[in-house]
This record gives sequence, C-alpha cells and structure tokens, in this order.
Amino acid sequence: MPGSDSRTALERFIRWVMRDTLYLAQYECEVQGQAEDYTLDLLPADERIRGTGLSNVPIRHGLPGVTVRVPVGASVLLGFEGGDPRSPFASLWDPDSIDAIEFNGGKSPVARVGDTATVAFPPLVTITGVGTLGAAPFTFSGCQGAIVSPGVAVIETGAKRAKA
Amino acid sequence: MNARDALERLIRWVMRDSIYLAAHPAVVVTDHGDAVSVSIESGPLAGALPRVPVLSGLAGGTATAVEPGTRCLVRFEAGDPSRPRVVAWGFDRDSAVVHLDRGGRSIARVGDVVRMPAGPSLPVTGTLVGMMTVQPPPPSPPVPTPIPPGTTFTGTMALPPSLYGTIVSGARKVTA
Repeated sequence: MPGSDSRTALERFIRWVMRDTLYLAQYECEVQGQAEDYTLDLLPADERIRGTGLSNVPIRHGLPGVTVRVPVGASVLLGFEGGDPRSPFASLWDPDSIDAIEFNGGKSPVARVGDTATVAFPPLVTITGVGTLGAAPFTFSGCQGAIVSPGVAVIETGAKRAKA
Repeated sequence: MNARDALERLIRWVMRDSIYLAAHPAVVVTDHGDAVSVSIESGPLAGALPRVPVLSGLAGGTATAVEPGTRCLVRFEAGDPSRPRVVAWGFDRDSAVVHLDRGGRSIARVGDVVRMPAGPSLPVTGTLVGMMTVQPPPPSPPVPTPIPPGTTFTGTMALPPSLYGTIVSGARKVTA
C-alpha cells in the first residue's frame, strides 16, 4: 500500500534523525575491570552499544566524596553525559556489586559498636593494697607494678542509623 | 536547502526538548546548604544554573556539603527545564563532607585514638612476685626476703586521669 510505504519511510527517517536519543538511556553492563583511578572497563548487554566494550569509564556516585571498589562481574548502569556517546559514565549498582566503599579515598576500616580498641597503661603503676602471706595479713603501699598486657576496650555506643 | 534537510531540521526543532532527558556534566560553584549553584560545562545547555536541589543517592536524611569545583551530574525531572536536580557526583578527594542520617559526629576508624577515663585509682587484684622486706623485732635490721609463690593481694593502683589507646578492629568493606 503506497500510503503505508510512505509512512514507514517517514518513520525510518525520523528514527534516523533522532538516532542520538539512544544515548539518553542507561544500559546494564558487566564490569570487566577497574583501574587504580577507579575508572571501569565495561561490557554492555545491549548489542546496539556493545561494540568491543568501553574502557576507562568514570563512575558517578550518589554521594559526593565517596567512591567504590567493585569486583569483575559486577553489574552497573551505563549512561552518557549530555547524550554524548564520547562521554560515558557508570552509575547505579546491583546490591551485591561491592568490594569496598571508600569515604574520601580513605583506607582505614570504620569502627562500629562492638569493635575493639587497645588501651596502653603507664609502664609502671603505683599499687597500694592488702594481702595474705600464709595466714598472716599484710599491707603494702607505694609498690611499683608493671602491667605487661594492654587493656582491651569495646566500643559501646555509636550512631543509631548509620551502620557498617 | 532541500526538502530532506528541511524535514530533518523540523524534526530536530520539534524534538528539541529531548536534550532535557540527558544527564549533563556540571561543576559546583556555590553550596547553599539546601541546594547548589552549578555551571554546566559544555553542550547546548552550557551555563549557570542557580540553586539546584540535590537528590541524595541514599535514602534517609543524608546531608552533604561540597566544595566549589566538585563535579556532578544534573538531570531535569520529567524532562522539564525548570526542574534541574543534581543526581550524582564525581569523586574528588577532600571535596565533600557527608552526614549520614544528618549526624554531626565524625566516624571513627581503625587506628583512631580512644581515651578512657581512668584515674586517680583503679581497683586491682593480683599476685605479688619479687622481693619483700621483712622487719624483725628491733633492733634487728630489715631482711630482704623472696615473696612466696601464690601471694595474692587486693588494692588500688594509681593511674593518670586518662588512658589512651587505638581502635584495632573495624568494618571489612567500608573505609574512610
């Protein structure tokens, strides 16, 4: 039907004109690797943008000052800044896709209620007390004692709604 | 201009608002606390956007403070140019302070210092070892004598007002 052909041709033309809208969407990808600067090598699941995959893709995070280390095989969404295929970014993860969450790039594990701390005592402490020698009680004062093991403390209080 | 070019231009004009469906790279100019003023770096929307609300990637009262120059992504709710929102962030060290659950205290890490109130004295029990001095009836002089094994005592030990230590265990995957 001629009218149908015209319509199909017009639709194809419009799709061609609007072809860059492909890069307004976000696409599921598998992480193939992560560099020291946190950028990712990604393999999109969608054949239209897969090619041979994308390298050195920066991550955009839901919080400023926070970044992540993720394992190979992690799942993330791929988007394009400004709809520009030359500016890919990764954002939004599957829940299990994490090796480490780093605040401000720090490497020290955060402490939580129940974690432990060691407390150092002075090298020598002065002890006063009473004792029993055989059956005979005795008193002493001003004795110098050494505590050879550090004290161990347990963190008992912490944030109510921030957990790690 | 031929008919094809004219049609292409018409279609692009009709669909011109599709640019507001994209995420646009920007940098923070000023943090106002409840919003940030940003500058979109490039593209057809390049320019300043004042007081853009920030949507958090975490639910539940997460507040942030960011330094000027921090990179971010701006999206427009429902593709509406009048409703820009900051939706994601680039990572820059020392660019932000995060308040989880709007908390105001710094999170402690392994290696951080702890202080334990201690002095002036602490009850103690133990076993005495070493030498003691036995005082026979005068006029005999004191006699140094080994303390018999198993000699126990109770008492107090004098301590400074505070003892200090370090945190030695923490989360496996969350670092700061």
